[in-house]
Amino acid sequence: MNRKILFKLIDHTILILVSILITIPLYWVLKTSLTGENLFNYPPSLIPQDPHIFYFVDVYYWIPFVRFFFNSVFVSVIVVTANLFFNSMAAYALRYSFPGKKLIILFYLSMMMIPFQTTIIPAFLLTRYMGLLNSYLGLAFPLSSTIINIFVFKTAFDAIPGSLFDAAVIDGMKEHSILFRIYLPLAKPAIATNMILTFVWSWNNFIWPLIIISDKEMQTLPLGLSTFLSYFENTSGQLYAFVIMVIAPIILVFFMNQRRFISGIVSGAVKG
Amino acid sequence: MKPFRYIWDLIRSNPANSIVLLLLITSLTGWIVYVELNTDGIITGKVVDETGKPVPEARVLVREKTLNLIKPPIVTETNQDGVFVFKDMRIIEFLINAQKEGYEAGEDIRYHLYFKGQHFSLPKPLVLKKVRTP
Repeated sequence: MNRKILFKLIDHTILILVSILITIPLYWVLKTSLTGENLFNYPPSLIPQDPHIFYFVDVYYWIPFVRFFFNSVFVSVIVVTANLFFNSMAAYALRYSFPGKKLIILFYLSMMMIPFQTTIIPAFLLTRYMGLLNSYLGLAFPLSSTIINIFVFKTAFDAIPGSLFDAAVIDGMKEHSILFRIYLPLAKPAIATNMILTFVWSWNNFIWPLIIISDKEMQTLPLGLSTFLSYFENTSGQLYAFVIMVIAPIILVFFMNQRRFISGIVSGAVKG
Repeated sequence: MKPFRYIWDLIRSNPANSIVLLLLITSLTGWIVYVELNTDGIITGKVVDETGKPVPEARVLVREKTLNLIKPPIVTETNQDGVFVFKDMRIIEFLINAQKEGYEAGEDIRYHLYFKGQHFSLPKPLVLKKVRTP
């Protein structure tokens, strides 16, 4: 057998095995949500026995799932929009040469090393001071601009030829027009990366909503999930059905945008 | 028109997306239509004895089951054909049994519906056994 084909075969076998390993927990969650089978059953059955969707029905009716879902979607929309707006503007500013630019970039990078947990208290005090506790804006506030996404935009903007910028300036375009009508349309992978990353972060955000939300009506899905744990044993089908209902939209969004997402990440990796 | 253009781009970038979108839209529409057509809240069934003969004037009890408790029963009676009808039932999970003097108490049977107010006919009749005197 050709050496190249043999290596490819080994590569693919390893990849398939790793894929299966990664998918098994998700499959198990899905299986439990359809059967309610105890996780500790021995011997475990790989194929679901008597699957049904009643656990999903229970979740839909026994907790305000629609409300939680709406809250999560609404906050994610605010976060994604704010990120696209602020990050693109910050990255656009960074394409100029000005004194202290390197210092600002260094400052950004150093800020990335500070974990969110350490800034929770100041963030909470600031949010309370602005009167945004128990509000959608308050939920979206700490995630409205993220440094890593500024760099995603910066690398995408750096790849755009300077002659385009010069031509736009000569034609008399204002800065905001250059950004929104020339740079952003040419940075679609970066936009997709920004959208997906911020959507995922906002969707999975747990600690921040837990701290600033006391009104049950304002809870997001991850917070609802933790409340749900207090109703059920951790082995019940309802809990796993809820988990599936929480992660399904995010998986769908990823799969529908995966090409752009991956191209955005890769372009960020190879350009300096 | 930008959202439509974005969806169109999504479909163009990967043909599998159109299948996913089509499946989503079809299943959602189908579900909504099904729910609208079957949401009268009627639960109906039949009570028979061991020989399969209808049992008239039997008491049929439905108890709604919630996550943590079982609610007090709602009661109706069967007609001459052994048929019972519960109207305006906005429940999703319930226990049902039948009782009649001269018959052994029926066992609770659990049913789960797909949505509140679903029109539901019991797939099997409730069977009452006659009390055997020694």
